[in-house]
Amino acid sequence: MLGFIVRRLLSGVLLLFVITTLAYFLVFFTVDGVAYRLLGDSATQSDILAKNHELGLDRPFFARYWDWLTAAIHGDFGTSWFNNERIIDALANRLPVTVTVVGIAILISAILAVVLGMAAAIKGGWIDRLVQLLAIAGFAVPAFVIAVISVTIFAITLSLLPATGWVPITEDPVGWLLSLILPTFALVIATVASSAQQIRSAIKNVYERDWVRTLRSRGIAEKEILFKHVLRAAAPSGLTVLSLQFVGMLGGSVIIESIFALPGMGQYAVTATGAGDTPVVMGVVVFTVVVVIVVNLVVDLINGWLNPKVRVK
Amino acid sequence: MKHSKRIAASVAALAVAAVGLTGIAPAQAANKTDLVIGAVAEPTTWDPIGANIGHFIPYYQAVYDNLILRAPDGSYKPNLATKWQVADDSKSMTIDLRSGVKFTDGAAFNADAAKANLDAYIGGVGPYTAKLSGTTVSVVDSDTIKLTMSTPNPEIVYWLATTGSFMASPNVLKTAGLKTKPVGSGPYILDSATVGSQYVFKANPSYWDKSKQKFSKITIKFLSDATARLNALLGGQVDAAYLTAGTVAAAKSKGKTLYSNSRAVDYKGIVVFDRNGNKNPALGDVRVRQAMNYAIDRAALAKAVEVNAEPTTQIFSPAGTAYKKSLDNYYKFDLAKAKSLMAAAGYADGFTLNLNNWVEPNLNALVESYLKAINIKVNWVQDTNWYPNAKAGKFEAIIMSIFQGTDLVTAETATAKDGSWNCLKYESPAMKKAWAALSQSGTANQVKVQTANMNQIAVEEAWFVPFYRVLHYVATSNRVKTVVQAQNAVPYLYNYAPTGK
Repeated sequence: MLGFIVRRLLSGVLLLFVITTLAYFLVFFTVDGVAYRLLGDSATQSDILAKNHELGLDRPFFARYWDWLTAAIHGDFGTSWFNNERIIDALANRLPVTVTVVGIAILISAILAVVLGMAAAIKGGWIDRLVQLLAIAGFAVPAFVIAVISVTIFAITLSLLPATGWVPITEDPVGWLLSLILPTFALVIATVASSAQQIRSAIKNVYERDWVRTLRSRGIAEKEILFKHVLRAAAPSGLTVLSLQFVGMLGGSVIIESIFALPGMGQYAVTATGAGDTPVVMGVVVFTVVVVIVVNLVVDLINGWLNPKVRVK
Repeated sequence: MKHSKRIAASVAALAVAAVGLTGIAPAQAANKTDLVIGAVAEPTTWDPIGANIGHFIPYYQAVYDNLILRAPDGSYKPNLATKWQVADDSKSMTIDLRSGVKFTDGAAFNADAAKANLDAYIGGVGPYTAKLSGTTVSVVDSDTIKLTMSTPNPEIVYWLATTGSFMASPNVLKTAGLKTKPVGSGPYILDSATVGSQYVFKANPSYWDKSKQKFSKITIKFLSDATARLNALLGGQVDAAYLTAGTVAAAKSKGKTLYSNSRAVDYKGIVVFDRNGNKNPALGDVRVRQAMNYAIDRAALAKAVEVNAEPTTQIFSPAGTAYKKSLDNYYKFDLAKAKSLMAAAGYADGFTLNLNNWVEPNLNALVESYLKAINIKVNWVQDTNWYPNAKAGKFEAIIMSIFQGTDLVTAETATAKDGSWNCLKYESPAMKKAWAALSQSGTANQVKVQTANMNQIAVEEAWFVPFYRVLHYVATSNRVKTVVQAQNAVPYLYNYAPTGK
């Protein structure tokens, strides 16, 4: 198991290096005019040159990349060119917002998807048809549409929930919970149905295997077959689906954070990318890749624990 | 049965919990000793060197005082300067300073502090630091300073009343800490800042002018998304918000008080850079540029894209003296005249015009159709860096919304050979003559005469194809009122006041 973890961690580090190098390369060759954006319309050419020099934008690619890489290895991601905030502080403030919203959404989605998927696979009938219908609806109606509709109904028309904003849990636990409901709701509704459909298929697939029939013929209780054997065998597919949903939600949070004005990673990344704030973009890339690697590692570990064949591979 | 009961109980419990939770109304800005503003932008730095106008200036006004105050109507009032005198030749200025003012770290505001601030600003690199370049500051006595300009600066008072004189404690000037933590003498103190989210200011207990402290606490929420700002206003999370044309109607229909800034701030239109015709020979012919002006139905365009925008064919602001009412309608929509000008210029069959792919697809579609009527085919250049590339001279023309500053700022940026919006350095004989006349003597009167002259020349020679002046909208709840500010997209912070409701 230790070798398995080490192999996964090493491949994660390699992936991180490749993605960040590629990202730096892309940012370097596409971002332009930072000094103009910082100094505005009235800035003179000498002001622009001075600002470019101050930010090191007049230096060659490899010099800038090397400086960034060596500093990043030491945990120094620099400061934003646009608001002078330390990247590490900014990420420490924003990552919890995104991870909380996405984490709670994925947790609720997972519970609902497993319950619905199991019911559809085992009971069949109207509930199966309903899950399949909801799955199609889930694909057809994106999270932002649900977000906009729910804001209009629950925040503006009924004034029951806040339309925008984020309240830290340390400041006001009830306010925190209220600020979470609508964004989480939008993400859950958009993902639960499709997850349930995938889990239904995985359970159904296992449920119809010969070895399950053999277990049943040996007189083992249906409940035991389901919870002890079928769920365990179907879990890897379900976990993979949920981990993909998690990564998808991280991307989808960009729009949700924008609609609800949540100070999370998504909004931070969009603002920084639009402005050409390279240190911020790189900081976001590093932390997002790390989160994705960690999630995949955890899923791999669980899969390895559930299925020894994975460890051998 | 047992299971059903359990499920029913769970559902009921969830429902009760949901009702209990949602029964608690979201934090409303009920106590109007507070003010919550939904803003489009957030400051890039708290160092006064980086101070900017427009959406940024209210942040700086919270924590810093400037020497001169600009009233909503554009007139100038004493602030940290009690009185001032600009020499007739606009090459020097004497300023008397207020006594007894202290910064929040206890440092005294005096002539030395004012000089240290102005020296730091003049020597720094910021959005408007160039407007004071060449100025030297000398201390006359403990509460008097004198500014000496290397060349006439007839708009020195404007700059000192906007971005050029926010006073920070001399103890923190030129320190890295000033970028993230302001120390000023302003009506409020920055209490907490969550960059990208919100800034909370509490009243400065030892502030010298209590009339500027109408709220005990001010929160500025950074809501870059227009719909999020509208929702925050309608949902009661903010008392005031800047609106876009697309969100004005919704705010109005929900009973919010709407303030439209008729003191022109920006104009939108085509800025033709290649008047020499080096990139696109057709644009070098004044008749072609005039034809483009005649081909645009500005009234229809404004109605389709904006809310109450003011059609115009000039780029100078009505807030200044260079503006002429008659130039708002110099090129009346006349397709026949446009076609005859195109034919006279030898372009009856048209040409291809390269424009940046502007952010409003509806505006782009209409402009394309108007120009197509005179056989000009628009090629929308897909370039995410079009702004810096335009500044670097890579575009022949762009569609843009441009700030209408003071007369001299507009003239300098748009009509001077090295102007930041004259990206291909065009200079016509008439404009060159006007600039020569202005350069001989930069007195306020000369600025008045020559900027009006430059406006006339730019319109007659069709340097631009302006569409309209864009109105800016701010809406407030019934608990707060405000006053629009001359030449600024949003009201100054001092303009907000509680209504008592």
